[in-house]
Amino acid sequence: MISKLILLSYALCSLLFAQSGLEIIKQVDKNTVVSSLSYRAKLLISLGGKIREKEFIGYARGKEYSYMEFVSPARDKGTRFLKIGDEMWMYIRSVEKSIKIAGHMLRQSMMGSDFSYDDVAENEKLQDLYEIEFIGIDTIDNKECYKLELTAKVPEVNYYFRKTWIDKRNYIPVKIELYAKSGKLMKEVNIIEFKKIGKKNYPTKIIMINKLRKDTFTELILEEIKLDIKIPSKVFTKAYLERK
Amino acid sequence: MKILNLAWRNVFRHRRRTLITAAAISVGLAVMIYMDTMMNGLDNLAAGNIIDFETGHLEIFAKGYYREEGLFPLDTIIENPEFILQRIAKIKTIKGVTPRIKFQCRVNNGIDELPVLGIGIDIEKEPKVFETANTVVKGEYLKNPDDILIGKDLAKDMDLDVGSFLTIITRDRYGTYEAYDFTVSGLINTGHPLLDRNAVLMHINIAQRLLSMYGITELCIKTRDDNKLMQLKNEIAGKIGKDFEVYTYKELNAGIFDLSEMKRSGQFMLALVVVIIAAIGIINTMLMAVMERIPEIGMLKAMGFGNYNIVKMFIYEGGIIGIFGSLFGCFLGLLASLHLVYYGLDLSHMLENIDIIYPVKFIITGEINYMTVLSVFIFGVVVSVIVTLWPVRKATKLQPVEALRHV
Repeated sequence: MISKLILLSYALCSLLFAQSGLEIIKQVDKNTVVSSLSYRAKLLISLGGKIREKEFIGYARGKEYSYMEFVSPARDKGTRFLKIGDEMWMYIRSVEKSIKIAGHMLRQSMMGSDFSYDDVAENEKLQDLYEIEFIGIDTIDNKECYKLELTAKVPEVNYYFRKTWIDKRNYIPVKIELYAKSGKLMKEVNIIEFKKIGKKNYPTKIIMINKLRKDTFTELILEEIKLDIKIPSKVFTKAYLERK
Repeated sequence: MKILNLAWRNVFRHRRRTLITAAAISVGLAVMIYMDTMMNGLDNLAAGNIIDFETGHLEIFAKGYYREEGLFPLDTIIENPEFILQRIAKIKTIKGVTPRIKFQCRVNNGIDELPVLGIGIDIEKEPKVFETANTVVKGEYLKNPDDILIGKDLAKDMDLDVGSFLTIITRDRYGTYEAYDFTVSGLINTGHPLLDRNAVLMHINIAQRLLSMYGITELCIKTRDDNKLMQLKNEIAGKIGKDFEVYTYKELNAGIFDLSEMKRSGQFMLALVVVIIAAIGIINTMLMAVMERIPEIGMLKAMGFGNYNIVKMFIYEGGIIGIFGSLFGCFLGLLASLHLVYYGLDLSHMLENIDIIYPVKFIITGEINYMTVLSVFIFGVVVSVIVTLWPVRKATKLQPVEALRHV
């Protein structure tokens, strides 16, 4: 999930700089591209004023491999996800079986949050899917941002239209708006906090707001982030996903 | 004839006992008939609801669509319905054809979201097949492009009313999110839970726009003669070729009709238990008759009455009780059934908050199957006669001399 959002952000950044300079792309890549990471994350799912908290640990290598395992609450403990490329599997401990998340399942909400599985699993580069337009400089939360508008150029996209604001100083996307084909705003992603780890800025607090429902949003808080560490290859295998 | 006369008199020597025994059979049979009437009524109502609101008599899909039943796939659709319409236009038994698009979507009122079935309808052709237009209980039928019809139960669940705004969220056939605002133009009350609680109806061209497609998912057909459904199905299948599939409403809802079969046998077992209890009553009565008439039987035997005639006499007695009990039971069952046919059983408040998969609700009206009444009658008499055989065995074993000692 997190790797996806980061991907999203630097894909956006790279797009921006394809227009306004390769130099800056490299700068952004330096900032956010990591060869591997491990983290502990909290998922706060707010639905109509009630907040549910879920916790998981995750590993990722590049943008191809990602592994997540829920540790709390008890109900979700042991639920694991594995993503390799654009394929995704889920393992539920009580069932002791892994299932591939495909077809219609991809469209469902992930663990009751405002993220759908394909929000997480989408792996294609944004520049392959969208026509990108640089709109200008905009100020969000007192931050000067580059404003971009993305319009789908192929039919197979989740969101037909996106707007993105990218912080001018550190090339982190501050806000992303996701629109339906009709032009209706559906979801809004805000990256509220980030942390400087080594030389890199890494987002640590992301909020996904469902704009179609009142008081519905999901907050993702990352803790204990470790970048560029060694993760054994066996983590990203189905055998590890299905281990007892 | 004399033996029958003898049996008749014997039966009415103890009026009260005979009456109670016969009444036990009556109750069993009455329950059987009543349940059959109710099940027939339920099946009729379910079939009627499915035909009038959900599928029509027959549905045509693109090949492979129905294999993914319940998923409402948008990649196997009828791209060019005109082709099919032309080919089946000359079939005289077809009363009407209308296109529909069914798709998965979510209704959103700004606070809550519910998954429902979206149905795109052609308001011109729809009334030729479906009754939806006649079931608008509040507001009006679809008119403006952004009008939407919802069931009254869904309206209650989602706190919506005529004039309310709602958003339909779906994915088009390529997977792209689409969200559209609609105004509730009317509430429908069909009696079919799918339409009243779990579906929304909109203009077919709006549905096509939502889903980025030009075709339709199905053509619904109503026939003039539903007794020749399979014949019509084959005729249509022959005309439209192998790229399409035709199914009858029964095939499309096999699960529901199988379920009804199961319920039927379950209820029959229940009624059977009642009849078995009644049969034990007969055994008891006949055993009593044999016991208290030991001297009598001895006397008859001493006078040259053979075992064959003794058995005959008791069987006649059991039969007479059986015939009276069964007659009265059928009368009682028919009376109760008639009430069900003309007044019905109001289950609306009982089922209000239960999601039943059976596509009926409100008042259940029955339908009497006279063949069932007849077979239940015969069943009652036969059971009465058969269970008499055991007590009678005792009578046949009596030695006249032994028996006369009881005098």
